[in-house]
Amino acid sequence: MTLHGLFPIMSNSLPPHLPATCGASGSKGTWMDEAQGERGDGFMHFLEKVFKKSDGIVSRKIGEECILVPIRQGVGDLESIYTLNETAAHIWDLLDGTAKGAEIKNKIVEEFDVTPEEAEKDLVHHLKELAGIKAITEE
Amino acid sequence: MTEGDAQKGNMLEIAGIRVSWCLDPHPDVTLHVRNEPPPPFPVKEKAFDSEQTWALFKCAGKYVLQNTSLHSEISPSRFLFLAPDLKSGDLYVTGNTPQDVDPLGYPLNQVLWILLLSQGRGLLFHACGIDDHGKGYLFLGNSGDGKSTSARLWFDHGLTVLNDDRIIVTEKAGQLWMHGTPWHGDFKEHSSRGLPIDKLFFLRHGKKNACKAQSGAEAVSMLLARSFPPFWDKEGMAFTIEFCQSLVSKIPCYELTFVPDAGMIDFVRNL
Repeated sequence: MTLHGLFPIMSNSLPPHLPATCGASGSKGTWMDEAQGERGDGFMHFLEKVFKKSDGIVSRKIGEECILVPIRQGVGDLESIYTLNETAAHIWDLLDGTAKGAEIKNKIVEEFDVTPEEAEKDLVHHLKELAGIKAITEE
Repeated sequence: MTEGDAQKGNMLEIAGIRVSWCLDPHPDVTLHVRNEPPPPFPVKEKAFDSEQTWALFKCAGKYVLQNTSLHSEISPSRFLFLAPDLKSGDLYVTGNTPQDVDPLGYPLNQVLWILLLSQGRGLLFHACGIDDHGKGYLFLGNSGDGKSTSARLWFDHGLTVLNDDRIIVTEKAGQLWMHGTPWHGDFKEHSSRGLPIDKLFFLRHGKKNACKAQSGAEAVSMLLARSFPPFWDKEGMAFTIEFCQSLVSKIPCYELTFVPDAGMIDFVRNL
């Protein structure tokens, strides 16, 4: 029996975790806004905004990591199961729909051994990445 | 049978009087087969479209499943309308009345089981299941990873193949069981038997028999990538991820590369 077409098979060929303090691995990892460079207006945008978890995503903490699976209606974007490493999973917890990006950055600086600059850079990268896969939306 | 009588599956019609019977007094799901076009339903309420062989809709809390995609040039010929609790439904069949024991047919049967399993029952995997004298080995893999090849190896050694392509896993009294299905791949021997899982393998061909233990989020992710989860249903998906986590926490999981010869059998047994 051919089973092709019953169900699309998800890819598990995830790219490596981001080497920075936070990151999500997944098959669609485009998170840098090349037009803005690393310190464009997008940085302030993400730090000033309040984000919340999208209704269209299912998440589950597994150990120190977290798995994100988008709810889907078709096969167009099926190659996507995202795994958040420990720091990224912590940020995910902090995305409660009340805290601004800048407040989350401050918590990261308090809780992890990173400079404010490193925390800001990695946080914005991560928020862009999450926004890119529609895992978060602006409150 | 004389002219005017008709016996179709579990139904007898004589002189326009129809009697149907049910062999199982306590089924989990009761479907009524209707040889007529379905009532209209809003196709805009799409829950999921496989873009190949089926599409699922949800209207007023009820699922409707049809046996073609919305993108298909072929018109659907079977429509399954399910009650919100999935305990009953109506199967509308256009064309000839089905005579076989599975009027649903492929792929509606498998999608129905995906829906039923997502109600906290378990999960359908792209996997080969082997009963090694009471020890259950579950080999998960996508197409081409070696499931049917492995099935043949174990079968040739006198062991029971539950299925070479589709295995259902459920949890019973804290134990994870695997069950054979009728939906086989290239290797046609299969069994409806179920047994507890002892070891779980993410299978692929290799130049030698080798394995690496897997755990945590990576193992859960690998399970999901070899399963048939209800992508369209947030609650069902949450259960599915939790179920995979339970599987990973209770069963030893390995990435296994194998050479397709008898050496694989001792290698797996000795792990």
